[in-house]
Amino acid sequence: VTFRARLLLAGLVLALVPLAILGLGLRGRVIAALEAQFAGRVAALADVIEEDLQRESAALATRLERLAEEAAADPRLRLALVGGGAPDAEARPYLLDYASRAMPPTGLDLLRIQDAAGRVLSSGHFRAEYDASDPALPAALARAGERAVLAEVPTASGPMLALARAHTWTVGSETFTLVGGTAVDDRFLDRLGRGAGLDVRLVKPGEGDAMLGGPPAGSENPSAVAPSALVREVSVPFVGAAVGALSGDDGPPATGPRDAGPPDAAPATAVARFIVSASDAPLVRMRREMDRWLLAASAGAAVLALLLAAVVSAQLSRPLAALARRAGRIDLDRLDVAFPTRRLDEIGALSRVLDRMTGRLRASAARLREAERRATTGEIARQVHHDVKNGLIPIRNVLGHLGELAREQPDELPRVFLERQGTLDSGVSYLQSLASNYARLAPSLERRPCDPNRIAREVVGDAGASGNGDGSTGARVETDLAAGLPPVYADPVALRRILENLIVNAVESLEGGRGRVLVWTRRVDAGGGPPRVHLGVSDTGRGMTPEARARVFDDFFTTKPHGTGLGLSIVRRLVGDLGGSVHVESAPGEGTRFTIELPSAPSSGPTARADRTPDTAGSSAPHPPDRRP
Amino acid sequence: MPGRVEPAHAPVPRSGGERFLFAQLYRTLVGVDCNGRARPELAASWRSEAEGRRWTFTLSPDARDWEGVAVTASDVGSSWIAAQEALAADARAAAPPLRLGALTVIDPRTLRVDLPEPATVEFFARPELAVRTRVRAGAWPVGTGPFRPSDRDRLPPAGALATSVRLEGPVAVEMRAISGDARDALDSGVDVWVTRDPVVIGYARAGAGLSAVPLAWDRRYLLATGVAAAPDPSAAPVILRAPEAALAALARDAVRIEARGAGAAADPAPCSAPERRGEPDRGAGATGGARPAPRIVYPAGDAAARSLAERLVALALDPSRADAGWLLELVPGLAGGVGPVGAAGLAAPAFAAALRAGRDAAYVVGVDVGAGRGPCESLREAIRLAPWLRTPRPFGAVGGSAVLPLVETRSTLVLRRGIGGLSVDGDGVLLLDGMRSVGP
Repeated sequence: VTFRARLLLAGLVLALVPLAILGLGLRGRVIAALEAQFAGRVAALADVIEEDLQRESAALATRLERLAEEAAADPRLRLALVGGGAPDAEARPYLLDYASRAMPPTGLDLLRIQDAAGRVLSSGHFRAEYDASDPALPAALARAGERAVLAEVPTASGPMLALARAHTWTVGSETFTLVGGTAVDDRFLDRLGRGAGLDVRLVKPGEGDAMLGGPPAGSENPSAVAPSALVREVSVPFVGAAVGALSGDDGPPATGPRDAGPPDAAPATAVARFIVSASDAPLVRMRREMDRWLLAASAGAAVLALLLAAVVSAQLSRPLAALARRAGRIDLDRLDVAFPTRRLDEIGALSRVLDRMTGRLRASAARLREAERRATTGEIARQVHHDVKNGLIPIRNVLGHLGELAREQPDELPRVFLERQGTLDSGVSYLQSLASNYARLAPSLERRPCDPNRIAREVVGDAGASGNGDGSTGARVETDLAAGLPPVYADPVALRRILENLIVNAVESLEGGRGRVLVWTRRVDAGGGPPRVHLGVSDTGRGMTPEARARVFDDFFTTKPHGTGLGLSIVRRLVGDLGGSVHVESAPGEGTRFTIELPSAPSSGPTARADRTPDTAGSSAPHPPDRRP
Repeated sequence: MPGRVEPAHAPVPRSGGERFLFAQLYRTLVGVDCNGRARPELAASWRSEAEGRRWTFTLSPDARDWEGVAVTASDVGSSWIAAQEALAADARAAAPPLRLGALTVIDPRTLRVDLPEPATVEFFARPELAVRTRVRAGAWPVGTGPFRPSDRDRLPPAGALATSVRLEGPVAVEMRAISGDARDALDSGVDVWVTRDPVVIGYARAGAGLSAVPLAWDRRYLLATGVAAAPDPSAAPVILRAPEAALAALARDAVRIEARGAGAAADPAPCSAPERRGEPDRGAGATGGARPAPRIVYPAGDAAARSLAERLVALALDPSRADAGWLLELVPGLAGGVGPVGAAGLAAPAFAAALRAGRDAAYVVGVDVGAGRGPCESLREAIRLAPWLRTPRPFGAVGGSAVLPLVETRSTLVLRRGIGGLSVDGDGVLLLDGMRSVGP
């Protein structure tokens, strides 16, 4: 986890935790206050509903009383009633339609005229119900006294719930009952609720929580139940459905068929409940709204915290990153890096520590370089001593031998001198060569654009003139130079020394001095960059083992009896100084191929391409040129 | 004027109002009087062959149109063909499709018709077979009746309804569409009123200067029941028979208009339907599994059908009643289901669709009866409305269909005393009298 990530995380935590505590606390307080307010309204409404039901009962009683007075004064009705079950053809339709005619002016939704046996003589809410026997309802209403009863009565389209009262009156010697009621439907329940935003539901016995009014209005979840504190009940006596058709199989006894027992048998007391509840929808809405606001505030705080943390962490981490970049540039060759600062904080302290550390490193590196230089000089001195001594030994031996002859056999001296002159020349030549090589260890370069082909031709020509490539030794030094080669940016002397060393090395590798040495050039175009020039020397000599090939460019490494081990080491250094690279391919018995890659001069544009462009243009390993006889 | 009148329909009536109006304007070859007897109209004589499949009519020399031109056999043939086409094109037509066979004009006064099915001569009294002679663009088709519209040269555009039509003829007549209480209309001077409303009838009987004359029994109510199954054109529904006392009680107490039990007059032999009387039909109508609460469906605008359906519900709700046992024995589908049986009134299109589908326990269906439409015709009409009735319901078997005739109803003619003679056709259509020869 980065320093910046930790800072961001810390910012988030610092912003969100207090906000969450505050939001949740406020939310709980507000919800509790709302619930208390709703509970108060529910309790008040329950009281009002109880009063409403009592008023409705009284109003029903009044209406039925007036209706009974009118009925008693209606001679046609009297005649029809007295006629009993067989009124005449004129009176019967009048009786059958009496209740349905009387209902609208009285404002009743339920009206029946029943005789003492419970037979329905006229029914306004279900005209075709006539002659049905339903003694249970008048009996239940009589038992309820002044209270209204919630009755479930049949209609043609299904059972109807009504708040009912009864009134009895006598015609002649017979007693009749007027059963009247107000429909208890959704509209009635809405009226009870008074649009107060509270829900009034009706639960019949045996229905559990099933409800007439459906789920609380506005409740988005039908199964949502308001908290118990928000529910009140108002109970009323209940008379279940008439005759079997309206009673469910699993209904309680109170809702069973009314004619199952004798008319005056008291059924089990059943109670319906008006349930007043506050819809939890406003609470749910409020809770959701608060959650949304809390979420929005949290998100906003999180964003702000992240921004703030990002700014702070950037201010902290930017100088650290700059220090890291600067420190990353430190190398043994690049110890000139400084860490200047005016800061007084930890970053300033760190910068000063790094600055002091770099200074110490610079001093240490200087001491190291000096030690290295001294070590290298000592090594070279020892080598020079060794080499010179090796070169002087044969000369000293020959001179000792000649001196001995001059003292003891002076006449033999000329002959022997001639015999040993070769040895002397060879020793002197060796020492000359050694001196020349040491002189080349520290060249100074003067780089300029120069033509590698021209230098190759000069070197090969010199090599031929010096006898290294003549026919007497059997070695052939040939050239294969690409036309239109761009100039290279190099020191011509260094380039010449490179080629001389490689050619000498190649000629010396030929078995018995016989074979072929090829000096070649190639132009290489790589990926749209400036062209590069490959300059190479291939031979058909002994080749090298992988171990020898791995060490071929080391100082003083040689496989030749009289080699100095400095030729190829010099080549490597010179090539490096020219900004190029050298590559060797060799295998025992298959010759050796050196390839030097040099950058072209900066001003060199695309010129004529080489006569034979290598197939692998851009490759760092060019193909060996054709081996010509 | 009962029902809507669209003059462009002339001379083929599609509603009660058109039937009444066109009956005054266009005549048929034969008529049926209120006693059910055929009488000559445009035809002077007729004869039948091939057991009632071939009929030959000779036109009366007195048969003339509004312009005094003699009616020819070609006029009759072209009228009938046009009527066939009009009924076939009008999918909403209440009347069953008209199926005539080959028409042959033997001479200008003789027409022969070959019917696909045997028929009696009353068939040709159908109002759809009224004759017009010439069709003129934008004018009433030239009629053959005793009355003609005063604006006969100008026919209202198709789709326009007539609210008032003046007729010229033996007497001047104005027919008006009246909304509101019929008693107010009678008090405001309307001379003739056809109604089923017992209040209006009672008012006419009690009031001075008005007479109430019962018309022919013209509408029959059936209870179509059973379950939907693949119709079998060769089969016929079982005709159920309720106790006559029960039907009489239905007619007397359940229906508030004038009605009588339909059992006695129903289903003569030609219908060839198996007949049952009060035998239990166990499992009939059951389709297996829990059924929803059964319901009796009726057309919402038909008060008589509603009364019948509600009474049947009241009886089915209380099977212990002495007067209810017959119903559940004949129609056991009314018991059972997950809830109590109920009645449901559906608007005309919904009722037609429900009746055609046949998924409810029972349907109260009202069909017209009258001239050319005997009990068999009413049964065929019921089958046309409910094709699943073709599936017979075998005794004791599950499924099938049955028809239970319930009641027949009729209208009452309320007329002002002293306005002259009126006659009533066999199908209850009022004829403004005085111009028609009555009886052969």
